Amino acid sequence: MGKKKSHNPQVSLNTQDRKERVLLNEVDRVRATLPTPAYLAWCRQQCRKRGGLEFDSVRAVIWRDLLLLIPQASSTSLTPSSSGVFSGVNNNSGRASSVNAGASIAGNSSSNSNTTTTSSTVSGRHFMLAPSVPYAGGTGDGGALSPNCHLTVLDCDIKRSLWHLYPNDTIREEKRQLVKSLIMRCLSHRPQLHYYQGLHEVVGFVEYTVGAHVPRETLVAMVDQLLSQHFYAFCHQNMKSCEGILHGVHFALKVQCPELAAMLEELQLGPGTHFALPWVITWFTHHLAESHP
Amino acid sequence: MASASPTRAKDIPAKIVVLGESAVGKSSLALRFVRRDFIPNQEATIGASFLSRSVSLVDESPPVTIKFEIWDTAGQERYRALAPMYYRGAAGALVVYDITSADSLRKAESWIGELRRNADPQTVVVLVGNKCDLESMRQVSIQQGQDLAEKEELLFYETSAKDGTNVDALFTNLGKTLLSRGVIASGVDRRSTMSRNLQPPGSRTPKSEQQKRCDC
Repeated sequence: MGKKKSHNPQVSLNTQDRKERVLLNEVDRVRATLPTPAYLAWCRQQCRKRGGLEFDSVRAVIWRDLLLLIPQASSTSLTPSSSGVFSGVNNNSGRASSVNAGASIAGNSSSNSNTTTTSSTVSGRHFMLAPSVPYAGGTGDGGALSPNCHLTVLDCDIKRSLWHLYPNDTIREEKRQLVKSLIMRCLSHRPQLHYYQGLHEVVGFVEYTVGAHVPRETLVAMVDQLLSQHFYAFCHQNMKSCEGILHGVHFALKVQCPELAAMLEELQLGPGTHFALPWVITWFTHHLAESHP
Repeated sequence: MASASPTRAKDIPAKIVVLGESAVGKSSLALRFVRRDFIPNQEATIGASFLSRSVSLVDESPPVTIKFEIWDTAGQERYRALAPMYYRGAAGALVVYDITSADSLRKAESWIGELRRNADPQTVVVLVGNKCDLESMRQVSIQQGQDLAEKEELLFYETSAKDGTNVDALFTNLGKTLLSRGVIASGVDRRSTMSRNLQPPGSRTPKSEQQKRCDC
């Protein structure tokens, strides 16, 4: 998971703003010139760069495109309209540029390969759409929702979440209800996926990072894609699909740093203990130092 | 009488697992004991977390120091599959419920059943009714907790992680019980101690050793 905006006091706000604008323009330029598969490969490369994407506005564009752009449809157009795609929604962030995919998407839907999520063309590029099943529960009891939402546990987790992201009580409570509604809306149309403790932290962080830069429906579509792709293995009813990945973490550690792996085994923290579980299933948003300040 | 002390080589390790439904206060209980503090904005435990604290039991002859190595587990049902790796080989298990939630007591009963079936028979189980500071919201009476503990032959405490009621007493008495039953012993490998003292479930807790205390 990326870091928040840099707060180096040596760098003036204007310099930061300029840097942010340059980066956004760069994304804009590459996005306009490369075919979708190449553009997405470039996006992945940017994510792996030391220092990451640096700005939430940049993350909003790149995360959105990595999650929602459909590569197969890329050849139709190489020149998206910057007014349509990077239109400066900027709900309350005051930042230079933002994305507006959800608001721009209209009509012309098609089917995704393995889900009920549909896609639509935006400026010649195909985007995934938000789940078509509306969330009817509002901010309250959730109504007659499918059991895969695990409402009791979700409620418990939501009530004790987002402390470190939103110090203001009122804003934190609003954000909690938003995170809850995002999770419930996405899960309610995917009964094969289940809420797990930790998912609320992931969705909370995604909302925190890109929520001010993308329309609500785009955010819903992004969370939906995360659940159905990146976090699919963790959303199963049981832990079986997770366990293989966790064993893989220890194996990777053994290859990269055999001394550390040996030390962990000596401390009886071998692969069977799943020591990496909280980090893996929460995309490293669940940090020990933050859990127990 | 117990006092905290830094970990030393001669400390007797005691693996303790904390089990129970989500949001009953398992992490708060463990943190209250280890850090003597209550964190109101405690977040949900993901998977499990580990904490430890050494406590000297100066009343013992000779005085001993027990290092409680506490595995605090997540409460959601889906993580239940991970629980055996935490309670396997545990000297003690705290099965926690929330006195303001009758459902959480039912979940505690199911944890006790699982421990009966799968845990080491020597594992000392403590039934803990947490949040006893919330008297006005109580759904589970002290008697209900005591009855379950008596039926299952468990130690029993009502605690408040928030104000600290009975938390130190719980761990101190657990440590003493572990010593008196030979589950842990100074200078003796625990596994060999346990294998010498295997008893069938149900016969492991003499009535005279039962603790049914609530100082709320």
